[in-house]
This record gives sequence, C-alpha cells and structure tokens, in this order.
Amino acid sequence: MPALVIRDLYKNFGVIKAVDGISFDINEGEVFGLIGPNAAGKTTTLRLIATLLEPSTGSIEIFGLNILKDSAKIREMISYLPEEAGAYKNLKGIDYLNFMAGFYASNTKFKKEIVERAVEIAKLGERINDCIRNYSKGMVRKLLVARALMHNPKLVILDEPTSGLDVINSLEVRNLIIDYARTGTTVIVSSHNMLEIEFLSHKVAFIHQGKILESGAPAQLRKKYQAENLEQVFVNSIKK
Amino acid sequence: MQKFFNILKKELKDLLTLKMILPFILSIFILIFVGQVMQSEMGKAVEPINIGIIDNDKTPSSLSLINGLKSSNHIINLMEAVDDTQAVRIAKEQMFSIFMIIPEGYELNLKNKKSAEIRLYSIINSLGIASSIHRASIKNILRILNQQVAESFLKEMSPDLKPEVFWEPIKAKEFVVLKNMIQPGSAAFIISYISTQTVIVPVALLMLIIITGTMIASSIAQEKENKTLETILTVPVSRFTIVLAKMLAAVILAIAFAFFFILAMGSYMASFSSTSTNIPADVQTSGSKINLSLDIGGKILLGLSIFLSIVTALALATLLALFAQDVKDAQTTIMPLTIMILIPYFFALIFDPGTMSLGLKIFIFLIPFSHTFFAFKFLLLGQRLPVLLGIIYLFLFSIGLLIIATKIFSSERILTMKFNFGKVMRRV
Repeated sequence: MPALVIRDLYKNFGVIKAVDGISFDINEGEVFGLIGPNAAGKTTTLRLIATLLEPSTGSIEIFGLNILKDSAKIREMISYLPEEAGAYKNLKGIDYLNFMAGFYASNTKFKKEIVERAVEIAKLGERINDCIRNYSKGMVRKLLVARALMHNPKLVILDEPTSGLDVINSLEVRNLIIDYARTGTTVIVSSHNMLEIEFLSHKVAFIHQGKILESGAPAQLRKKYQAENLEQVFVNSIKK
Repeated sequence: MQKFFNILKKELKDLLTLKMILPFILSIFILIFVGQVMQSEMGKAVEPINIGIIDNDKTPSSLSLINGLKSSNHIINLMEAVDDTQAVRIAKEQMFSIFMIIPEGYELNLKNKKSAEIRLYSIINSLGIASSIHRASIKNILRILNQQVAESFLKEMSPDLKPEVFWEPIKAKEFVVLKNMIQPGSAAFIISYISTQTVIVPVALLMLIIITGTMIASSIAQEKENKTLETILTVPVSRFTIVLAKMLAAVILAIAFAFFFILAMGSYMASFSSTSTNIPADVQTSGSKINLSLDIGGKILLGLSIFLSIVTALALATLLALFAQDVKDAQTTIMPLTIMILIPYFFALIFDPGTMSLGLKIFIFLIPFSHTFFAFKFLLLGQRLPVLLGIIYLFLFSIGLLIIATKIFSSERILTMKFNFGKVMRRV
C-alpha cells in the first residue's frame, strides 16, 4: 500500500491558486523531496497532508485513510515539523519533550522510552535541562526534529527542516533525518535547497506556481535532462 | 482525559510566569497597603485630640460649656492669652489643632436671651481624613451644647413642654420592608449597607472576567507568536480538548487571582467599616434582623451566574484572539470584551434596573455580563426571577459562542484568519 496518494489536489485562497492540480504517490519507506522556489506551494501542500488545511478539491490518502474523513486517525500516524516552528519558551527542553510525548504514549513506560529516544536524537547533552528561551536557533530546531521523530511516526512531514540554520547545524539536522530515514520510515521533506534534497531523497518532485513540473529519482532526472545536479534539472524543467 | 490534563498542566506552567503575575501581585499589595494606611488614618480620627480653651468670661455658664466639652473624649487644656494673636501662637506651640475663646460677656448675653458668641479656631496642619473628622466632631459637641442651652431657655419659658416634643413634634418610627420581612429600622442604613456590599462583588467580578479573558487571549496568541500552534494542531488530540484545557487553565488562575484580590479588597473595605461608629445600635440590629446575606439558593444562583459570565468571557476572548497574530495584538483584539464588561460594571455601581428607561434597560441587558453584575442586587432584594432569566440568557450566549469558537478552532480558519484590529482602530 502506498504511504501517500495525492490526486488532482487544488487549494485556493480567494483568487490565489496555492496548489493547482497536483498528483503524486509516495511509497512506504521512501524519502520524498518536494523542491521548489519560495511561494511555489510546498508549504501549502505539506499543510494539506498534515491535516491543517482542507483541499478545495481533490483527494489525499495516507495509508489508505482520507484526510477529511479520518483526520483523527491520520494524526496518530504522522508527525509534522513546520518551517518556522517554535517551542514553548517557558518550558525546559526535557519538559517540552515530556509534554509532546504525552499525546502519543498511553502509559508511563512508553512515554519514558520515547522521551529517552528524543533526547538521544536531539543530542543536546545537559542543555536538554535548560529553559528553551536560552536555546540557540539550531538547538531549538534539533529539539523540534527530535520531537517530530520520537514516537516513530509512519509518515514524517518536514517543511524546510534546515531553514535559517548555519552550515554546521544544517549538517547535523540533515544527519538526524538520514539516520532516522534508515529505519524505514516514510519521509516527505520540502526545501528550496535542491542540493540538500538531492542528498536526502530517494524520489523528488519539482513544484512551481502550484503545479508539479517533474518527478522521479534524482539520478533518473539528472539523466533525463542531462544535468549535473537538481538545480539544473529544475531550470531546464521550467524552460520546458 | 490524560491528554486533557497534559495540556492543562502545560498551560498552567506557561501562564504562571512572572511577567503575567507581577502586575497582579503589585495591585494586590497596593490595595492592602492603601487599606492599611486608610485604617491607620481612620484610627487617628477616633483618638482624643488636644483642644485649647481660653475662658475670658469665667462664669458658671462658661464653666458649664467647658465641662460639656470635657465630657467628650477629647483632652481639654485651659489656656491664658491677652489676645487672639497670642492665643494662636500658644496653640501652635502646644500643637493644638483646635482652640476656643469664650469672650467676656458670654453669660450676660445668654441671660439676656441674646446669641452668645464664642470663637473657634482651627489650625490646619493637615488635610487628612482624621483632621476633618476631628473638626466635625467638635461641631457636633457644640451642637449638643447649643441644644442644652436651648432646652434650659425652654424650661424657663414653658416648664410643662417636654424638650423632646419641642425638638421633634412629629416623630417618625421607621420600618423597613425587605424580602417580605418587616423590621423596625432605617432604610438609609439598609441601602447604604447594600451599596457597600454591592461594590465588592462587581469589582471582583470585573477583575475575574478581565483576567480570564486576557489570559486565554494571550495563551492563544502566544501559540501563534511562538509558532507552536501548527504543531499542536497536528498532534492526536481533539481541538475541543485543546480549547477546553486552555480555558480551564485560565479559569483556575483567574479564580486564584480573584480569591487573593477579594481578600485584599476586603482588607481595603474593612478600613472604612472598622471605624464606622455613626450607625445607631438599634438600626444595626434591625439590619442584622433583616437577613442581608444570601441564602443557599441565592448563593447558588449568584455562583452560576458568575461561572457562566466567565465561560462567556472565555469563549468571546477565544473567538477574538483567533484574529490576533501575536500577544501584543491580542491585548487590542480583546478590547470589545473589555468594553462589554466595563459598561455593565459602571451601570451596576450607579443605576438600579428599576429606575432605568426601557431603551437603556434593553441595551444594558443585551450585554450578557450585565446579568451577573446586577444579580447580587436582585438577590439581596429577594428577586430571583430576573437572575434566573439572566442565567438562561448567559447559558445560551456562552454555548453559542463556545460552538463558534470550537468550530473555528477545528477548521483551517484558525491558521488563515487574519484581521488587524489595531490597524483598523488606528484608521478609524
């Protein structure tokens, strides 16, 4: 069963067509990259998948469940990391993880397990016991990635996971995602950084002005457009 | 339920910040401090003061006047001075705030049935409450002395006429009818007692509603400002649970704050009542005979009305906060709620529903909070029907608002709705 099936998806905000009839599938265990410039429709697509927005028309199915009818069940399977996500500044890092674990763990033992896993993923050391308001942007992002991955979701939705981070922090966050993807979880990740997506993804789709221009494995696309990297593929696909 | 308590615990932690509670703690301390100062100032008012007296007449009548003053609790000091200027200087040196000069010929004037003048000097060193109460008390003593002299005149002229009949030929025996009970007593006292009691309830209610409204609005706006809203909306918990937990956290803190505020307010109000000595004992007795406190049924109705007002305020604040983009914006966005609370607050302090015009009454009682602000007055007067109708109105209003707030919270509009209230206000 595919992890995600999107068919003829449209999302309008008044006269603005944020998503303009896109369709694509993601198989279970795949890391899928959604690439596009700013305002291409990446965040709207991810918000639709994360059950935050409702499609104007079209359908989204996650592991066979419809996002409109089964949103409650879908929320138990997914994890969404928004682009500009923050954490509760008055809480300590560990308290934040405990709070978020409370939504997924049915008992104390499991809660303890997933918090321990998150602490391991975040790699914040002793600083996990500090108040979040004292964290750097990179530390907050690592905490949020750990939060997104801690309960072993079946589908992880990451919107620009390294946005605004310096080179070192970006690399660390990217490695966290790669390590996690190796466990066989399905990941959909968006970015305007095409090199990053090429590095992370099994399959990619180019989105521009709300439409999917091209999709496939990075190597396959490079070959098709006789390009050295995905940036060139993207430029060529726009010209086409 | 576990998820509900998870959010509730986090909300309480999030709201209990120094920034949030400091203004409240300060206002409580200020209230207690002002109450203590008032109490100490009012205490001074009942303390005896030093009064200087210069008796230039030295007759039995002047002596009788001095003895009359001595019978009060003030300390009478006899002074000697050649003229008024010297008397003022001596009084200032002796720190007398009041002194009296009985001029020569005082008794002669009285014997000739003429006005006998005395000169009363007040040295104003202070503009405090105690100082003005002292001056009023001296005037009161003089009034009694005047009455005594007048009665002695009356005895001479008409020995058979009883002085009390002369002063009050028409005697009114007062009765008060309240809550189907008839008791002898003064209506003025009952009304003043009710007014004092009805001040504290609206003030506490005003605080409670504004605090809860601000808290819930800040809590929702904070989620938007800190970019945590999107994350919390994708976790497996119903949106209604999120809204409810946020509301309950605001209610818990507001009740705690209101409790301390009422204690502080009680201390402030006690500063006035503890030294209140001018209520006649029989009138006080009649006040206590007429039960001016609420019975169990009245308390339940008042509690229900307050509870529904809080729920209405929370639902309204939630609804308004959905338009806010950040905490600062939220303060402006909940302005309509503040206005809706302040209007009935002032009206409940000043007006009685019975004296309002029909149009004004409709306008006031369309505002849901008015029903709670007026409930205490209605209940003290034994009128339960308007309170019951108010509760029904508040219930329907709060349920309607809750449904709208939850619907918006459950839909994508919570993320897409944008309305800059501050900008609109500035344009207006």
